[in-house]
Amino acid sequence: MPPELAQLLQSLIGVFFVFGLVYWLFPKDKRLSPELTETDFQRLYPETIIQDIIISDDFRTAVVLPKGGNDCFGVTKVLGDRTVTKLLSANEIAKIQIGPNMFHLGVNDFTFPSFTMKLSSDNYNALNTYIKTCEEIASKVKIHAL
Amino acid sequence: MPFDLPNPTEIAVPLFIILILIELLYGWRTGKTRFEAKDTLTSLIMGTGSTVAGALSATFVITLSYWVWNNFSLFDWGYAWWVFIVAFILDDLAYYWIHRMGHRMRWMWAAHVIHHSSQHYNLSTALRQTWTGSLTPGILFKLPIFLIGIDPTIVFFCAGINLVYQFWIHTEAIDKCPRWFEYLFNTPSHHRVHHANNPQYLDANYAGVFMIWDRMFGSFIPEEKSEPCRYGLVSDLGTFNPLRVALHEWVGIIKDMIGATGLKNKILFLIAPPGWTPDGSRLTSDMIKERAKLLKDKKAHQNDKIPAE
Repeated sequence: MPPELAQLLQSLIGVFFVFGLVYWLFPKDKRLSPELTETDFQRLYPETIIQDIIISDDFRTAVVLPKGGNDCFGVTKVLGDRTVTKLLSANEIAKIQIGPNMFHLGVNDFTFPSFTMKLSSDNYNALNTYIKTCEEIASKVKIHAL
Repeated sequence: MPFDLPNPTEIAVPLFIILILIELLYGWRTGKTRFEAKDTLTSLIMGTGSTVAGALSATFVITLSYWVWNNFSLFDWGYAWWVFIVAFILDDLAYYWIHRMGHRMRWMWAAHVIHHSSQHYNLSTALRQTWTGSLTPGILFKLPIFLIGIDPTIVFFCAGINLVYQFWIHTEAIDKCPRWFEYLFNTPSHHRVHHANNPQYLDANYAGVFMIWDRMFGSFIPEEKSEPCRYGLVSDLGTFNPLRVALHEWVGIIKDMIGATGLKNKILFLIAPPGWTPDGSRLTSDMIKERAKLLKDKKAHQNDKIPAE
């Protein structure tokens, strides 16, 4: 075996050994908390007052509804555990598809193309009403039924 | 070159592994450092990929460096011990400017963004290195060292030591070092600020080893206890896919350049700071800092108006 290949294999064994150790030792809580979502949102949009935060059924995604209704609209998703998140703003969302109790968001981003949120009936109705009454978001984002 | 020099990073690999294991156990026992499995895996894969990419592109960098040194060097410095010290200082100065441009020019940011894409700050983050560094004009900042006549082999050796030094500063396990050390050298505290995305910490502390460069060129910001660092990008990545991590900013540049009207805007998408757009629809770090400062002033003004009870 060429020494370069042996070295590469050795590195890969090391990589997966450390990964296994981290996976085993550290907690894997995948739930978003409203506090974490709020902090994430206010870090990027400190001037925006939050009206409500709607968390999905699986606690992995959340929508932040600003009080103004038209300045921005944030969506946060947990990626690994709850310490790794992605926050999107309205202008990063290319389209919203609405199905029964769920929203599918198409994202205008190479690293993060789309995701789906499953919501309780109450949250679904609240978000649906918010989006449909928010003309600014509606004019930026294509909304249609699935 | 009258003697062979080892590759410091290759020698340091066992040390890297031992230190990561120590930090892992320390974090597990105390909760003072955090790891996330997929994040760590991505960092380590990026590190492995970086060594492969570095090996593939080394021929170009080495050939260019020796061509400049062989044909245009002004003096013969020889190989005395003090030449190594001069080379180390000059290489660190070059590193400072490469790093600073890596944050201020989108072309170079496209390669460097990888290192900042983790939302964690631990020793595995140190290994989250670029795959595309050789596609940027970074090497141009080192050419003056070859032009004054220092052998590129010495400079590459010093750059290796510089890189090894920077490994240990990627940790939350060490709070502050002694004051004299914090003044002169890059430390975990200074580098946490560099990796933070809090508006007040953006574009600061570019030093490799000597913190003196940031103090001299006005980019030094100390870590404040009242403002804990939050790590990652201003707009976080949203993926653990190594290919997307490595290439996302390049894809963004290409898309923006294709969509831009006029040659000037196309070029500016390449050389202007990250976040620049012709219509100001995205935020550069300067805009984020300015906005945060305005809000802070506004809040302070509002608090002044509230009468004390």
